[in-house]
Amino acid sequence: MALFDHFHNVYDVAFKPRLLRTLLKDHVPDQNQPFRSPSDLSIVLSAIKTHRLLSESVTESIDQKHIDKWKTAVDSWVDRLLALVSCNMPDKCWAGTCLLGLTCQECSTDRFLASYSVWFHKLLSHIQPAAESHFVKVASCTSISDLLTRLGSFPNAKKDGTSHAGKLIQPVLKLLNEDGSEAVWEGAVHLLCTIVTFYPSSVQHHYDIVEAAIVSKIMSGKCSVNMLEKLAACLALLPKSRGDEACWFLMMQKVLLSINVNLNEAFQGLEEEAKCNEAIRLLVPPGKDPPPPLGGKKTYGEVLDKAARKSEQLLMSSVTTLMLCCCKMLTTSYPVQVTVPIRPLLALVGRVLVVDGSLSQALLPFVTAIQQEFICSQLPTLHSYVLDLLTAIIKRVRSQLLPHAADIMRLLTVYFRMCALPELRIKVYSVIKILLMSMGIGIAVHLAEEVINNAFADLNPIDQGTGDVSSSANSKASTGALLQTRHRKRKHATTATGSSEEQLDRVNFEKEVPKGYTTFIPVKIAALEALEALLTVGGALRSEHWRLKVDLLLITIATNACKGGWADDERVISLPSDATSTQADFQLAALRALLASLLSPARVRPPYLAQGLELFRRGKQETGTRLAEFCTHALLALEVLIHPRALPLEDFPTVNRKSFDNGANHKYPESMYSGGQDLNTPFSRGPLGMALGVPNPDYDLYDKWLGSDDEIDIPVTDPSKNRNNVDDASEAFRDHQTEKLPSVDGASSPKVAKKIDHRSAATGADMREGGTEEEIMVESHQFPESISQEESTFPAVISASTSTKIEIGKVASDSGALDPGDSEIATGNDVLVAKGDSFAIQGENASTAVSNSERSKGLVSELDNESSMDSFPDIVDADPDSDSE
Amino acid sequence: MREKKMDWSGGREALVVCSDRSMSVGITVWDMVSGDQLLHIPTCAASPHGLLCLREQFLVASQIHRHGSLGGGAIFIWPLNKPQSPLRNYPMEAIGPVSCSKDGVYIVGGAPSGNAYIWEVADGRLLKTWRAHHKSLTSMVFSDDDSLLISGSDDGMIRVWSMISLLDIADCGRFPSLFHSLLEHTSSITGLLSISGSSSPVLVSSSLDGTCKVWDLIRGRLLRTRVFPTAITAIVLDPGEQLLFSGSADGRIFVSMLDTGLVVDPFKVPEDRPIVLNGHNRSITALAFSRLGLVSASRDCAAHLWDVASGVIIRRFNHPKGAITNMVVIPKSSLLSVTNHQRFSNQFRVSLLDKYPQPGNSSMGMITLLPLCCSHRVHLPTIGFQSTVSLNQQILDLEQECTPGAIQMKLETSIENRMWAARMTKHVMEMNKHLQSRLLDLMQNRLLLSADSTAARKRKRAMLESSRIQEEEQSQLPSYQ
Repeated sequence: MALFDHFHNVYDVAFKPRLLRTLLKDHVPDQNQPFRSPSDLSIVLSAIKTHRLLSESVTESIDQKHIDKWKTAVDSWVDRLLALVSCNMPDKCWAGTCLLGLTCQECSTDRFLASYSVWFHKLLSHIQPAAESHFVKVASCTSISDLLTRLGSFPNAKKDGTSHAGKLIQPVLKLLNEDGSEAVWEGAVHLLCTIVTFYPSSVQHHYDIVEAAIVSKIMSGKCSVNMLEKLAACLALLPKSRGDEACWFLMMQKVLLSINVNLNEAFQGLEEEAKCNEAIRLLVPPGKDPPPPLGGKKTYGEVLDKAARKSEQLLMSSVTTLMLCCCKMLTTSYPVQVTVPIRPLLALVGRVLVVDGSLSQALLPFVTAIQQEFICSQLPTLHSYVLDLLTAIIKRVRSQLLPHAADIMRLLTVYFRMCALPELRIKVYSVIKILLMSMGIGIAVHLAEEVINNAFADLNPIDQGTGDVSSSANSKASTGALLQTRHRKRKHATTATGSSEEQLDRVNFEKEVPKGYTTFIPVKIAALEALEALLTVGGALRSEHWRLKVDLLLITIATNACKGGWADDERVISLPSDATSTQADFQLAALRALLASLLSPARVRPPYLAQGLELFRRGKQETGTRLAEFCTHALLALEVLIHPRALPLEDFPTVNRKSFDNGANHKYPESMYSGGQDLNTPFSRGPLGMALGVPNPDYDLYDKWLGSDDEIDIPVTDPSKNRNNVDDASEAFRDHQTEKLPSVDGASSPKVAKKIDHRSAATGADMREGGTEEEIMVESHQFPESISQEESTFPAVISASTSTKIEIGKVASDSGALDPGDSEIATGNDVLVAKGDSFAIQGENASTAVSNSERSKGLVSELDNESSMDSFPDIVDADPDSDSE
Repeated sequence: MREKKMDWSGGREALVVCSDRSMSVGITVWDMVSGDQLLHIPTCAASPHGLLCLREQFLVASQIHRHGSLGGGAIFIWPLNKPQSPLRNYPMEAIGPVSCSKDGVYIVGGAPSGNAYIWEVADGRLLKTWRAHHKSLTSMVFSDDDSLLISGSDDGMIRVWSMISLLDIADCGRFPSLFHSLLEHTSSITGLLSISGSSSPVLVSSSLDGTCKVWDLIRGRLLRTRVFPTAITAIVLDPGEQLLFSGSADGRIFVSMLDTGLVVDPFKVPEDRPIVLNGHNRSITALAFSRLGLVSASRDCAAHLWDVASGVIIRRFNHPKGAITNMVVIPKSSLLSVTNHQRFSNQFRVSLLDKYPQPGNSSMGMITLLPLCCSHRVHLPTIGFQSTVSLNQQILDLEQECTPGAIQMKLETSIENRMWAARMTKHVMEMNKHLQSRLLDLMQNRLLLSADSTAARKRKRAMLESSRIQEEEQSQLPSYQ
């Protein structure tokens, strides 16, 4: 490589092979050089990912020379890696394996398809022997997993992939079964999950063994919580390998049965016999054979014995893991529709939530204090998992849960009252939030009171009692004092509901006490979220009872939360653990709830709108924070409330034609044009003018009317010029009545209300010209109606322009007698009804134009006759009615 | 036919109508745009409000004639992509209006006797029957969030039910299922519409007494009454829920602003005059909205598609076989045949609707889950590439030497290194030894030869020897691994 062989820029293809070679030379170990430092690998990793050095993707215009260069560079990269993988030095082998996994992910499609088989076998050789270093095993597992994942994206490689994956099952199970480190198990489980998701059929034959292996691992008690989670997810995925409904159901049944059996043991003496029997009876109806135990027959008995001998800790961890497995089974998708044993699931939830550690009197002598202590120490975890399960059920079953909603509600309300631990309260709030969101107003009716009472207890800033109860419960619960706290809590809840007004006053006047405030921020956030959901879903629900109270609470909390300035949420971002919620989260939750309270409909205008707006405006200043983002959104949402606007209904004929906007004006001539040219019946020409430039005079007219409301003179003179034409037209009208109507309508196919006015006014005028006294009578009846002047001039003028001498005279005399504005309304009103007829006619005309079929034409004209005849009574009928309204 | 197939790929709509005259009339499906007849399903005569489209995959129609079973009613369900094999259900009594929840999980039906039925569609269970009204039910509808059921009857009564309480298995009566009885209408209810807006649901009802009324569902209060000159037989709202279209018994359709009465606007003209769409000459039986505009069906054997803005009829559909009593608008794509569906196994399942309710305790409480929307892309989100994460983690481990794995690796590496060093040392020593012996040989030779040979021969021999030694040295160097 020449010293000054420069490339163009960072995007130049020539740059990539050079960089790759440099990396290979300087940072990737080779056979002869010792491996310097693992951090070298991370340099390689980031360089390859950033510059996509292995992608070999080029645009067409690139010189072949560069492409070849790149190709040889990648070739040598792969050769080096393969050499490293088969090296005896564990660190080099590890490096090679890892980088090969990266290559599987990054390299070009052609290269991957050409060589994945070779790579697979290279990697496979490191999984099998027992003596390999753990690191190499883990790296091999992840690399193979990546290889299979990439292979899974090529549908035509499915078969090959399945056969490859089949070779993996035994070695992976071996890894899982032997006493390796947790990292190796994790790698193996991950690989197993990949195989099940991408190549389910390869697991099919080994289904039972795999299940047994995973279950025995779960029951072994050697795994950390993290590992147990992974195992649960893997077990939940397993039915996918068969992909049928029965398999999923069987797994669910086995898991539930196993949980219940374990719970029987754990809850001995803490619940009635009937309860546990019922749960199992629901799962296995009497007369039916129970399913084979989870994890196969042999291991199950063994495990049970072991479990009995081993600590109860193990019992609990396996129960919670299996519950997690249930959650995962419910929430992950499955290729076919499945049947869920909903009642056993809910029975399990109910069974666990009811247990509070208290002993029934009858069983008192059979339970030792140590047993009770143990159960109570584990109960919160158990409850937490069961609430997760409940959340998963609600999420997945959705509205099909309706028949059980009442059950769940009863359970939750009872549990909520006695639940005093912050973590659990957070979960209960979130369950309630999901319930409210999914089932809407129907469930809000029943839950509103409970949510409000509890939220008040948790949120009331000065109510230190709540804080004390919760905090003491927090510390004591682990030593089994749930019973006691429950009583205290209950007592408190009743006082809280009883003296809500008293509390309200205190909210009003006292300032927040910072102590006890920071401790329970997550609970408060959860309570605010639940309130927000309630307001969103059922804000109008019996609002007179609680809305004022809640609105006041929310504005107080939001004001207090934001009083001490805005917490910077930068700190939160920099912290690695997202579980810790902070002041910023609390502020955000408070403002969100406040927005819901302002927007949610109530009987009265939101009383704290001004304060709320002030808060949002201030929050908006904190540029760059989530809070400012939300405040901006809140102001946008509130704008409709602050400045209510009646937006015009675009494209729809408004009933009150108050103004002629420009948009309509623009459309008008076009429509006129298209319609007017097509139709050559005498009538259509008549009012519009004789020349080919038919629409122009009329358009001018229209413009003038629009331009000046007062200039009635001009339109009146215009028609008089055309009077002869009009006369002709009216002659023709009698002869061509059937043709006339379509033609007029045809002229007005566009979507402009004003146009309709105009045309229908014409129709109306014609009818009058047809000349019975009655109609004029009707008109004069309507004069007194009050409509603004601008509104009315238009139709009147049109009618003048299109009607005969007599008609004009009539109008003139009317306007002489009455206020000119009023006289014109009459025609306007007429128009309303007449127009309806013409709509129909017009549509028919359009359809004939489209279809051109003789048959339908006949039909149309027939109908036209009918409707034109009908139009007379319409006028008479409709107007008195609407007047009386 | 060729043309039709091409059209089917698009997002076009189809109009489904049926009559109540006789079973032979059946269901007709038209293309909304071209007006072509797409499909005809024989043997169906549905009562008013007795036709619906379930999850855009099935047509459900309650049959007006008793068919098949004595004294009982009939509800037929046709899969839209396979209409030749309907599911025939025979409930206890004839069913008039039917309705389904927004997600298609439940079907409710009302009988002339005043009884109402709720079925779960997926497994066909009859979840509840109860006496909803004293008179015949004429219309049923779910609230926007599916949590309330609203029923209207022949005597003008509207009742609002809570689904949760209706379906409560335990049924301990703690929560009353009847929410409100709305009694203001004086004649048969002809249409019910629930308006979206989650926190304050509003109901619009129409009646033969010539009024449309707007109700606050939660409080059960009458908000607005709109009086029309004739009996109103059908109502519909435009998709933006601004305009109310009321079809009347004489064929007119009144268009009016929907005034829910929730906003008190002092500047508003209290009663505006409705616009009238005239096109039918007999009573309107059904109104619906498609993407193209309003569709109206009438007893005059025609359905019209209106451009609402201009009030013109864009298209008219003639149904010479009988008066149209029911109409729904469905997406045309749902008519696609089974073979074109990629995953038939995951299609929404419909079972035969039960005739009798099952006793509560006998079942295991199974629920057939609806498929998740994204379920055909099963594995995309779950598993991703892992090696980068894993590699980074391992590098970290190695640098900090905190995990057993990392320590083991270090250990093994150093053992390997030591072994290699030992091997090298051994080898070098061997080489040394070899060289030494060679040197000794050489010296010995030289001593021996110096006695009897010429200087030239000596030199030549020595050079040969040394080059051989070099070669041997080269070949014996162990390769570094």
